[in-house]
Amino acid sequence: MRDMILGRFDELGDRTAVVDPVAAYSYRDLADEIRRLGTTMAEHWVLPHDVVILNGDFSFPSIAALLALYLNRNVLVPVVSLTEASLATVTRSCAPQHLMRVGAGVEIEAIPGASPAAGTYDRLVAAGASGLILLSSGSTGEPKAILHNLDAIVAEKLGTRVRAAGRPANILMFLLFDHIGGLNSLLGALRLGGTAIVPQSRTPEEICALIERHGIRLLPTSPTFLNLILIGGYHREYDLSSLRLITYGTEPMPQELLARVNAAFPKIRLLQTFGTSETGISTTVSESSRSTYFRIDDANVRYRIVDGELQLKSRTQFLGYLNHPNDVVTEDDWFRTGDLVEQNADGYITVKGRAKEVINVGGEKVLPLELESILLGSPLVDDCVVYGKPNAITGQTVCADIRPHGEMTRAELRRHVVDYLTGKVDAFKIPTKVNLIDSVTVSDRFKKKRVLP
Amino acid sequence: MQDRLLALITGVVEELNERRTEKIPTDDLPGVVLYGDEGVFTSMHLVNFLVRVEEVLEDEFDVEISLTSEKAVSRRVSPFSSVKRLIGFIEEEVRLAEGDVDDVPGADAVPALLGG
Repeated sequence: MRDMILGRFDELGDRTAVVDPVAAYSYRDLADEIRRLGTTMAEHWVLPHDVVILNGDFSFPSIAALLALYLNRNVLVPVVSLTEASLATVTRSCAPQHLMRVGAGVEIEAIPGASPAAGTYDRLVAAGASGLILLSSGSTGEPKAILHNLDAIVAEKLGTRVRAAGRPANILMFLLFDHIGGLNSLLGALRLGGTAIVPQSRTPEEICALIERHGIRLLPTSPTFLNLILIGGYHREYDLSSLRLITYGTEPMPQELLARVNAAFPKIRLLQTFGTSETGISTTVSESSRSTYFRIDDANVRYRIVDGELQLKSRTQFLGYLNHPNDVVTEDDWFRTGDLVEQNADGYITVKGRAKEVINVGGEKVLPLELESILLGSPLVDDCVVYGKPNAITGQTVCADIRPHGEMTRAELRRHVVDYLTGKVDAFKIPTKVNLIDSVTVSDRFKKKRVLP
Repeated sequence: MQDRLLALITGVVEELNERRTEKIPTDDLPGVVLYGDEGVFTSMHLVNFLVRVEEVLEDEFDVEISLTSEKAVSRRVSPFSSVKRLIGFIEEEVRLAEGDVDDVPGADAVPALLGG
């Protein structure tokens, strides 16, 4: 695979590989830049299997740098925003030797004093493979440093060549550069010989404007972001008729939101993607555009459901955490996703929520997603987030932060919520506390931020 | 203050009564047992009620206090044994919360002291 990539890019020649806010670049430009960076890296003594922080978001130089590091068999740690805290985490857990900063160009500096603990990267060195370390977006504590064999991921995603018929696909790099979904989008675009369109910012308006300007056909995104587009009405302001497929992932999709998305985009196919930073993104088939049920249809991935929790085993499975106990892997090597799922008679599964987000009201279980989904069915609710709050009487109570549709007082909203949910759900699931909010807090990876009970 | 608190709690009870088949009598509210053998609420309803009271306190007094805390629950004489006791507990908590505000030194004074 390693030897073929540059040749394949050369062959694609003038075809556009990347459009970033600066310019458009062909596959030949990309191959040339990768070769040039290879030389620069050698001049800076970036040796095979060295650990390199790659600091930057999607851009032509960052994409070239990522591929150059892969070709050089480095262990790369992509980080979009390198704060003091994230640098400290990476330094402590990954022992990087170099920092590559990507701005208009690429700068390489040595990180003194770092040398990996003996054995950390042995498996990669023995396999002659490049590595990838992803930092988890964990809501609490230090991010987990997730070590992958990058050769395995590239082989899986670029291994089979696709002869794209007709116009090559424009794919929007919506998910971030340091996210497994972002990497998946990029490799997907390269595999098709398509064009990776890089946004300047990821506001709903900018994204819709880009879709119109570049005639983008595939938008990989998250349910929360789709709702932001709908709430802002940007799908009516811009011409999004080029879109053929919207894939949504990174968090579960509420059924009611899916219904809203379908109503807004009746001609676009909607596909749920599913993956984890630990196992990679799986190929999936949604039961239909209107269904949150999907099937994992991927030769690379096997799944099983144990006590309601989805467990995965994949060829692109991570090698381990560098700074965290590997207690999420079972003795027989299955990854415990922490996702609670349900399977229907036809074998399709749906995600009901995260195990750690389950609210326990006096022994009764409440899944935030279930309530959020029902609440989104109300015409008076634009967006909402449900979570548990501890108390000394029933253990936890259900709280809901809601952005209403139009002007409402908290008392009016509470009354509406109670009226709307009465008869639809068990009494213990009705939120005790309702807060009025302007907008749901969204993480930098476009997931709803939910307070853990 | 007690009268004001009683009026607020009466409002909350009246609102809850709208949805209850078994109404809570409001003619002698201070004597009403909230929780326990004679209580009008189950544990879940009690939490609902207390959170509503917290909410109106926040709106009326601009203080955030918890009526479902470990402190409230572990009182030797339960604040949930009657509305009167609950009012007593709220009074204490409101005073504490207001006192806290007075006791806190100016936020910017702390680093100045440390720096000096």
